[in-house]
Amino acid sequence: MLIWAVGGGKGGTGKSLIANGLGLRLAERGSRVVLVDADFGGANQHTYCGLRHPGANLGRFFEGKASLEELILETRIPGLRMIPGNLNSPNTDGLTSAHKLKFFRHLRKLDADHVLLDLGAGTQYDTLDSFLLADVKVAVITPEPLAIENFYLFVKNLQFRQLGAVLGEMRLRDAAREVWKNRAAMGIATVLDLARHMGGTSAEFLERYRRERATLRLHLVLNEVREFRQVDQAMAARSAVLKFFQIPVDYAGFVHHDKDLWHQFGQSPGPILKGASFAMTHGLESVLDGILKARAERGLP
Amino acid sequence: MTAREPLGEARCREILEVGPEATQEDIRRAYIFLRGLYAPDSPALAAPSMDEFDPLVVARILAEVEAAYAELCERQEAALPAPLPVRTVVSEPDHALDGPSMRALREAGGFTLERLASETSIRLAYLEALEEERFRDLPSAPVIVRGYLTAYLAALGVGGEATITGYVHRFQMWQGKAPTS
Repeated sequence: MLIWAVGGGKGGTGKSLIANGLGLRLAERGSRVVLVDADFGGANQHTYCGLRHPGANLGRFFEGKASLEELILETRIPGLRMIPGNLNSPNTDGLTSAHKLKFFRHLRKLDADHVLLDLGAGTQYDTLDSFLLADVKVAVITPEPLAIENFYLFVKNLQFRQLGAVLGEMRLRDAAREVWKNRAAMGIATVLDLARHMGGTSAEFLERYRRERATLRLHLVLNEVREFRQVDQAMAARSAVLKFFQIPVDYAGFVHHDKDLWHQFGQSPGPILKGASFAMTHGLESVLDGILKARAERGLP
Repeated sequence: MTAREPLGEARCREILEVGPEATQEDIRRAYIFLRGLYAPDSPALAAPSMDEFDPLVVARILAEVEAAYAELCERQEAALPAPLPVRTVVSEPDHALDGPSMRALREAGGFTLERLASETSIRLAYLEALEEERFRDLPSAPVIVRGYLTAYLAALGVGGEATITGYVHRFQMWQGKAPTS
């Protein structure tokens, strides 16, 4: 079973749409899929799925009152099921790492081939940790400088969070904090500089961090494309993440802006069931193919 | 720059972000894209104030991209087949190289453009553009034009490094004036 996370930093770039589109297509191709609305502060995946009154949701799981299985709802697409996000209880800032690990442990036990997490915007720890723990990491951007700048910030925070986790595990967090405090004097400016410095003090850390870093590889999706030349912006973002953060990025493809999509919300059945424009549908197909191809090239399922 | 250690083919391709299957044309496109992206104050980077995007780092990346491309071009040139012996003895050009003098040299050597194209692996259209000085129809990287001129003269059995520089210089002057497209 594979856990996918769809994130990317800025709000409104279409993370929910892409998560939905990928889940729908995986189901159409014969997989058993569960879409999980893990946007704890802004749940709306149920609306994409055409479910207007989803009822019980993920909040119940974190309160210890329901198992994930009990929260699963059917959609009208065979093979595609979903778990609605937290709509009724206050936000989940207080989730402990024990909560999150339990969440992932239970996700892994779901009876499905693919579990897709629709993550929220921003760089909250919940979002970063879910993204880092996923097997397939999908980042969504739009061809706008603001979205791309927030994407870089998301990447930087991912890197920082991952480094922090390894430092914590190796009991080096306090030492690293001291170094970071005096970073100017030590010529340290970036997360990678800090990692390199800490690597110089502990070969064990270096080895552990290297292994962890190898898991950080992104599939980049460009959404809301209006003109073909906008694809260059995804190529620029891909190159910059590789060159400045040394994180490999596989460009998965782009999805056209669909000017009529808004019209399909609020109608029954919901937008994904009615179908979007041909251009958007084609884009989502090619994005899924792009992700699966990039994984196959690395010998991954 | 002359004492620079070669990066190696694989590293060059990694820097230019192209796979092993990329053709010379793919490599050229990748180079032009990256050169624009990592130009000083490039608006395409979109994160001007982040520490990672330090101008010194950007400059280093640009230098790496330039070095990788130059090296791949040199390798490409080295991979060209050795020229066949020239049938007619051709005198070296004693004046600045230009299109008409190139054609004269070629015809004196008994070469057709087609023959030269197969000798040099340069596309026929580029050879015609070189001889007619249609700069617009040439690849935009001066280093490529220089490589073409070197290969052209070498195939004719003529050395002419000094004369090539003049041609490339005129090409670059034209580029400075030409509208960017």
